[in-house]
Amino acid sequence: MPENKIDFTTNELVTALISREIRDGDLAFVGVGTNGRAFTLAVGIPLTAVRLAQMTHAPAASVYWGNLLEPDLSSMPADLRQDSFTRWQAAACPSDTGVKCDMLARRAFDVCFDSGAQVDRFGNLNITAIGDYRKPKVRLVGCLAQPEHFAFVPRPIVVVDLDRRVFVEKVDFITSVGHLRGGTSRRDVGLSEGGPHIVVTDKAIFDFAPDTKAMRLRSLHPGVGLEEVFDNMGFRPVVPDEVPTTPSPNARELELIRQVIDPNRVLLRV
Amino acid sequence: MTDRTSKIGTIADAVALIPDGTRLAIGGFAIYQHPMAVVRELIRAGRKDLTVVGTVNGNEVDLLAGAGCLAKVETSYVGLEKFGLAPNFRRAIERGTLEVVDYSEILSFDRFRASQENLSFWPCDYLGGTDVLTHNKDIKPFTCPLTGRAMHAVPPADPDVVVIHAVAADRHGNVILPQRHLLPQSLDVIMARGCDTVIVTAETIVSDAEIRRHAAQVQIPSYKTTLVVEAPWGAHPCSVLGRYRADDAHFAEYIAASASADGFQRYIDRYVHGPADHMAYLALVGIKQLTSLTEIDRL
Repeated sequence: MPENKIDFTTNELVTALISREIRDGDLAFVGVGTNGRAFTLAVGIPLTAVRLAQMTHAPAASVYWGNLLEPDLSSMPADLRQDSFTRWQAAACPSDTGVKCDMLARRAFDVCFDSGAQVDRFGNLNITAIGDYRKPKVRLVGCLAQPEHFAFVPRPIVVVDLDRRVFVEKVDFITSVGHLRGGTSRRDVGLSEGGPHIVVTDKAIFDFAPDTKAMRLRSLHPGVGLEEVFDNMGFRPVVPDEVPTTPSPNARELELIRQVIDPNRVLLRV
Repeated sequence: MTDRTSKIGTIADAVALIPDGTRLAIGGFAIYQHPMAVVRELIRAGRKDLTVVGTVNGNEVDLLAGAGCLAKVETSYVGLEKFGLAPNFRRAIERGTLEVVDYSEILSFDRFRASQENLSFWPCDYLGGTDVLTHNKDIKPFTCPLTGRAMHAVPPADPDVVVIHAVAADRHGNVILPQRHLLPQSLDVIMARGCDTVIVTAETIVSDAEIRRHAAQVQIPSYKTTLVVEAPWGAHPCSVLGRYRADDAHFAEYIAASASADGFQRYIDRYVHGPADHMAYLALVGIKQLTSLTEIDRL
């Protein structure tokens, strides 16, 4: 295990990694999320990452969240609910659903953040039901706008913890079409290029092989071995000959995350 | 003397417009601004076999599902946001006693847009590969006659009745939307446009003069409205934007009770069947609790 000069949490590691994926001028869709760990994955890490990108290399990156367009991420509201954060400073607060339809269908977004109960080898996501659809073992929330995210946003970033129950060979219900069955199958059903860009977990980062579109190990987090990753997956990802270590956050990034962006540990609490 | 232009009625009148088997759209969004006074009265009246057609649903559907009022839900979401999954909805689906028809969120708006235009379907070009298609035989493939593109025809929402909760309305059914409003309030307007039986409960019934001062904010004009009911705190325990916050303590009590079917039964015995009507419900919740949620905002 490599020795870290600076201590950092896994949340901080992946936040810094995601921030480097954000390009200047990107518009990112962030969902509203639920509670606990699910909130950290869907909202906390994405918002912190975009703010970190703004403060480092991407000052013109922005977010659409709830119905706030370009919310001022320099001060995060304490109560992160739709009816409270409308008082937050933003460029616009378009309440018309048509704006959301326009932004998605006419491809205003560059990046979106999504999480799920299941993700498979080709990056298809399930947030609808586990088990038999008609009499499921676990009924989940439904679809939300995730099918639209995966259809229309060029670089979806999936944020989810590595777990055998989550990383399955085939999702029980395809809520959102990733790379479908690999190869050209996504385009064959009429969807545009795109599909999930990377999958960010608490143990490793994945992307998708350009030809087969199968999930591929991109980097291992410091101190995590291959076996530990395989043990937590229901399928074997593509493994390149050389697997790098996920780059650590630098001192500046950690200082920004801890002291400026999320000083009260609201966003990266759990 | 009777006022022939008044559409004022009671919550019981509202429920009389929603018989068993109604295809119902309920205003609000997730855990915000649902017409809960009407929802509770539907349970008191023992309504059965309702279909809820919606976009993003929450505790209103969960309550109706737990009370056995529903046959079907067509939506993109049933959940309680920061309070997690919808426990009673979940239980009913997992037991196979409630049918759900899943739509994606934008498509669930589009279905109401189709109803607004009185169209027989809404065209969609991005459902390929999803299991939304696998399980929904009402969505039909077709080829775009202009471009030759493969598309899907999605059925409109077409609710029989829409019921929404607003901040203010007049006796004729002109409904005011506050200046500062969000998706939930805008969706209420789209729902109302696509339906010929629209029930509005309002925090306050205001004078004709008051409405005329706010004409620019009347987003649902009286021609759309069938019945207007004054229901102060009518969305409790949900929030009403600019009037009161969500009752988080009540939500927590609801979630704890809903851990089991028995616990949920005790909850509805206490909060739904116990009080005879909406005013008795408010008395049970208590003035101290209600006033602690007050939020002051301008229109």
